[in-house]
Amino acid sequence: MDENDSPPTIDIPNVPKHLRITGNWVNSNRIGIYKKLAKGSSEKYDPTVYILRPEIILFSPQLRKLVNESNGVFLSIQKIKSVSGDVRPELLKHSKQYRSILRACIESLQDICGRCLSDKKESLENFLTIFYQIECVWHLIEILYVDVVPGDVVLPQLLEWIRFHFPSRELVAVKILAQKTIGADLEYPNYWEAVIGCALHGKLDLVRALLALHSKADHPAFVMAENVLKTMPIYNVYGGYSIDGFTTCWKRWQLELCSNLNSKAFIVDTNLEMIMKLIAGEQDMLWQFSQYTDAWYELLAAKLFYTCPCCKQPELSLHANNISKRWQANRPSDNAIRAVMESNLHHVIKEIQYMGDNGWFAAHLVDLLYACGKLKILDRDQVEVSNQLHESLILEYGNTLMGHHSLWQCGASYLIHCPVQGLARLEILLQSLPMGSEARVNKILDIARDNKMDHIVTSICKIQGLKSMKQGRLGNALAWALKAQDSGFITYIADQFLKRYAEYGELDCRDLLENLGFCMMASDRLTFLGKYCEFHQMYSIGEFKEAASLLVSLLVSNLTPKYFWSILLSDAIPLLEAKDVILSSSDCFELLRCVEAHGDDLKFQNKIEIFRLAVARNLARALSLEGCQVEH
Amino acid sequence: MSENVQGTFVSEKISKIRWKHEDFEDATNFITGSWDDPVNKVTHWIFQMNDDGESYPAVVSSYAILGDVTEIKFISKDFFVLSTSIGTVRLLQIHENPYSQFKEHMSWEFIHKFDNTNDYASCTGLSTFEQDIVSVGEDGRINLLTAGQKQPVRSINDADSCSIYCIDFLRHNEILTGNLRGHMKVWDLRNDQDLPATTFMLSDQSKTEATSIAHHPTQRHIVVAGGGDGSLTVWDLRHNTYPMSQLNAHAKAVSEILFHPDRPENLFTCSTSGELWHWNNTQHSKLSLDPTNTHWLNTIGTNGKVNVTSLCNAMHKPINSIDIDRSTLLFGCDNEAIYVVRNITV
Amino acid sequence: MFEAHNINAEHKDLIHDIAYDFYGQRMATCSSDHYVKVWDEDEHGNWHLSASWKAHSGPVWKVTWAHPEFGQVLATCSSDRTAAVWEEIVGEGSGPGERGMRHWVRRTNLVDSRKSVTDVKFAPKTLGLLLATCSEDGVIRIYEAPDVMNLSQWTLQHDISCKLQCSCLSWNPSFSRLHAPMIAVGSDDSNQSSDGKVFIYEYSESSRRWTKTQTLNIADPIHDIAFAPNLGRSFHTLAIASKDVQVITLKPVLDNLQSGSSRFEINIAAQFSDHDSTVWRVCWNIMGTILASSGDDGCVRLWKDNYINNWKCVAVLKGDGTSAQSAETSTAATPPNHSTGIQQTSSTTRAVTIATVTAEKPTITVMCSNKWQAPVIKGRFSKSVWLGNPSESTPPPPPILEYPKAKK
Repeated sequence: MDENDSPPTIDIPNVPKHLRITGNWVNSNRIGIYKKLAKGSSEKYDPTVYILRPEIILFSPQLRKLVNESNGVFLSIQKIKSVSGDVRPELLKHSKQYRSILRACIESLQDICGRCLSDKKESLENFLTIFYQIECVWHLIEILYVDVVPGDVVLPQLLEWIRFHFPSRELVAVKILAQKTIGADLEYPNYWEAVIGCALHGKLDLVRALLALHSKADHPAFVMAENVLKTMPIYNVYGGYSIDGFTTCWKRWQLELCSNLNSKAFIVDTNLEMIMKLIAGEQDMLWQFSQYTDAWYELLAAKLFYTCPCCKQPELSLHANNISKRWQANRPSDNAIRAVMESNLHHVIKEIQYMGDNGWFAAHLVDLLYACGKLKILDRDQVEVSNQLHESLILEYGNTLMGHHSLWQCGASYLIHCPVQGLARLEILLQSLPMGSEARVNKILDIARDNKMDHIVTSICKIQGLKSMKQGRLGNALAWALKAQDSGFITYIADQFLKRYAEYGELDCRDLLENLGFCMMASDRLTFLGKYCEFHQMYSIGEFKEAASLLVSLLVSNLTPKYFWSILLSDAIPLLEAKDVILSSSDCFELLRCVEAHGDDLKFQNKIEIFRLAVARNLARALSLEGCQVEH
Repeated sequence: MSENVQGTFVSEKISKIRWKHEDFEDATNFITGSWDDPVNKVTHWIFQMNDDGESYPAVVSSYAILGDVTEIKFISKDFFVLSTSIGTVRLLQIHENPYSQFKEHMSWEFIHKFDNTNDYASCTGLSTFEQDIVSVGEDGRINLLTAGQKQPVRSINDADSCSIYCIDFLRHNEILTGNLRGHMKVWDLRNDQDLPATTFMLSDQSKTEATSIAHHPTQRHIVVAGGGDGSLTVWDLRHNTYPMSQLNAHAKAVSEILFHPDRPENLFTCSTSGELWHWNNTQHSKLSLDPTNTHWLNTIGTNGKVNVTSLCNAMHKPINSIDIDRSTLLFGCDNEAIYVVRNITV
Repeated sequence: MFEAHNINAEHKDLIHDIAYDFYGQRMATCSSDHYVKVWDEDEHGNWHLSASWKAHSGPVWKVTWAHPEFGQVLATCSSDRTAAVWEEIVGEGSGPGERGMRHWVRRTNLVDSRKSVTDVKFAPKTLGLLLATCSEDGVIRIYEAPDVMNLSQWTLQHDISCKLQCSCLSWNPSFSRLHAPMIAVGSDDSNQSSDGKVFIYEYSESSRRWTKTQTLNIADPIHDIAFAPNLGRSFHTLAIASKDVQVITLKPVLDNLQSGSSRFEINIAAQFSDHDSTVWRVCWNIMGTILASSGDDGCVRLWKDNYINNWKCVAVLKGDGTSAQSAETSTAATPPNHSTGIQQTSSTTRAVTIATVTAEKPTITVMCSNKWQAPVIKGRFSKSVWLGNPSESTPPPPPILEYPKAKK
């Protein structure tokens, strides 16, 4: 987006500077680096290969929960997208769900962080910072983009947001109040800090309660302060006032407070006077109190509360800009929050990509805003590119997950929802997943089938078949070849069976071959093998008639491979010699035709005479038998 | 979403989940096995109360397992056997003294392997009968083990030309295996010959794989098998090997079938499609003691009066494993979460 | 942050090429020492030498894997004027140590070239088992194994003369049937006068010939070219390494087969001279989303386009300046005179973590956390974790269809 960013540099240890190195991709996210000497270099060649991969924090066990749980929310949003009608309340629920997941993640990180050793602690604290900031930004975006703010007056929600994220002073206040000691200012050194903190967050009830515990609480100045605070008008959409009506009322109240200040009514206590000045909306006082805030937007909320309580969303930008500039805030989250208030989503998305969360935030947030219809991104030529941006972020995130040994199923469910490039990428990535056990392969195949990628199914099954063959599991290889429906491969495996039979005289994997069913038709060679197997089955249980008719049908079928003729012909001999006449005269003629055509195999030479003799004898018997039958 | 389903994300895909049953009270402990990470784990969990008075599962201890966990079966109250995708079977104990941890008592390494390449083969499943264990694998081998002995009692090396996917002890001397092609083989272990007593097909129409087998807890001749196409097939092996009924059930492969151990008229099935179903038949009195009473599964083909309810919305990832203790059901999923469903009416 | 894994590849001389298999689990290296080595990664990310053999009688320039559907197959090419196809097989012998041993056998030696063979590449698998070579004698040769289960029979199907000495070639990996098989070839001829050194060849099904359909107008010597996977786009993307890095898009122009005009609408999507000098290699990741270029400046630069097709550099990889000699010495190095067979050496890999040094803009930020007193966040809004769409009621299970009850 921004052309001026210089890319990060990654230093590879033990490699001299300016040595020529070459990089080759390992797969989608790993790169292999090896050295090439520059010409004329005298250095000894070092044949080390470096394989680099970006560290993905999402793969750490603490964050995998977040990855998986948010995947469920993402998929649920995809379902909502196809629903017509007002889906905003539903999406707000989902936004809250995302934040709920973030908070659960932060809570569990805090939990672990407290219990772990220092070397791990650092990275956990880093995670905490990242996800804490994400939740903070998300919360604000939810207020400004997802939620419907009544009357468009955003201050109440902003204050809530601030109070939630900066709770420390309110906690102090509550602690002080719990003791109910009169003269709390003398007891607690952080008394005024707490009062100021509460005032900045607009927690006037707490301010009043604290002031009531002050040692001089009975002093007229304090009584007056109490009165001022009690009467301060607070805007409420449902309060019955119009904005104009409220503003008049509020201005009158502010004027009165100012005149009190001018008459030095609060001079008895400097702190009290300062607070009243803040409440009267004095700009300078606000900045004096900035030391009590942790972020510029805390100050922003205070400013709006005391100077512009009916601020609407479009006016937010100006105030935000002023304060953040003066504050000189420039962390990614500062920039993101400012951009949110400026309604510059393009900038928001850019900034959140710097947050170091491997694209989790950008992908899920943009998807939510997209579903809300709030994403309008224009390129330099004012062409809307929201679709492209949306898809590119989700693709990127899905890709990242596909690179993990276990999270690939999760990754795939993101790619599936990218209409333009998603399936093309999934196709490539699915094929490149390492295969492992058949249970894993079946799950990979499932995703391929779900997305109608038949050629991927075929390819994976075939590779699995090749693997089985290498393992010496010919039967299993055939099972996978049948799943692949690759007739060339099936033929090849059937050939292996037949060749082994030709060599060793034993049919392997009878349990499989005898139960092929209609799968036998997948290739001619397999049909032959299956039928030949059936022939053996019949023969072995003494069903010679069945066996013989199978054999003859095999002989006339034109399916016999060249190397198998001698075996088939030899198999006929015992049937010809059987006590009963099994083969008919026409069968015998077929046999003679076959032996003329295919009996020239060297392996058959020693049997050919026996064969001819056997056929002749059988023919004679058959003819006489058939002659008798005709007469009858 | 029903209120009685509660999930916990565990940062690993769960391949197996098993209650540790107690004799006279509700179970509170269970075990999970994970898959697809470089190093996987078997984990012991306990249900605890949190501050809000809500029961949630907490880890008691974990034990690293090389390869994917492919099956877990308890053989006694605290001893269980597990199989892995690198061809090993392990006998572990949940050892309570001095603190709860796993103790390995026996490990049968490398008992499933491809002889040709000397690579390990995945042990796809195991079944137990008292102390006896039988394991099957992608190498088409059946291993008979017994808990107290390091050497396998017997190996049937070429039991199947294809990968065997599931196994069940029908009786002490009879086992049933199912393979990649849906071939079901009954093996009589008294027979020294390495040949099955009977072979029959999961389905005549489609050559889908047999993915799981379960038998009726009291009428062990009633057997249900799940297919790679999501179908369920029921046999009464007393009569013959023709299926009593065949049902098109789930949208994708059936991952596990489970009879309720105490109320066998309730059947639970889960699937790769993310579905979790509860099958029962209210027509039959639960108190019926008539021994000739046929299970509804046998007659479903003729009268078809059976209730099927899904216990939760279809998950977006495969459900791999289920287990039930009284009215509380657990299931484990590829979305790296375990779920508990309470108060199931059985 | 990046994680690095070091592997001592144990070559006696310059490594010229490394190729990773389809899954990124196997690595083949080739070197000036005439050897090819194959490495396997275990499930913990350690690489083990699984085979090492003398493949040629000269420096081996390139090594490449075939699609796993054809088995475990490599092709190499060398200055000894040959290219070779290798297959890993499992020993079937019954002798001790023979059974189950994997080793690589030469399936064919392609000896048609009269000069050094500079590149070798398998075609996309949809075209069958096809191999293209190019050589210094300026000829592109296409070989085919008609029976994909038999790797020892290769026939020379086409030889295409391109007149200039060739340095590199790339198949267009696009699977689409909408366009003809396509090869790009580059020449490193140093004569500046010729009018282009990248040639596109296409195969015509009707004439059964390869014809040059385009010459890209780059006069500088070309060192490497690479097509990116198409991903369903309407154009092809080609990366070219010469004196700079270029990414060219070629969009087929329809219906002008007869006319002599250009077959493609050609655009330069990106052109970078950041390497300040010669660029030697370009390589796409498997999705064609990130390009790695390697140049004389000692850097590997990664390039990526964004959602509006703006290319920019996303990372620079370079040496940190420490000497290579300080690297740990590997144990159990393999003696190079072992020609075949497996030597199960102990892993010579080592993992280190490298912090990313960033200029100006931090991409990976470790923010000071003291400013951010994260409140004690307690739990979630709703106690339940996500199961699905909460508004959705439990759908009734689908009706059960019954198969006809089997006959008794």
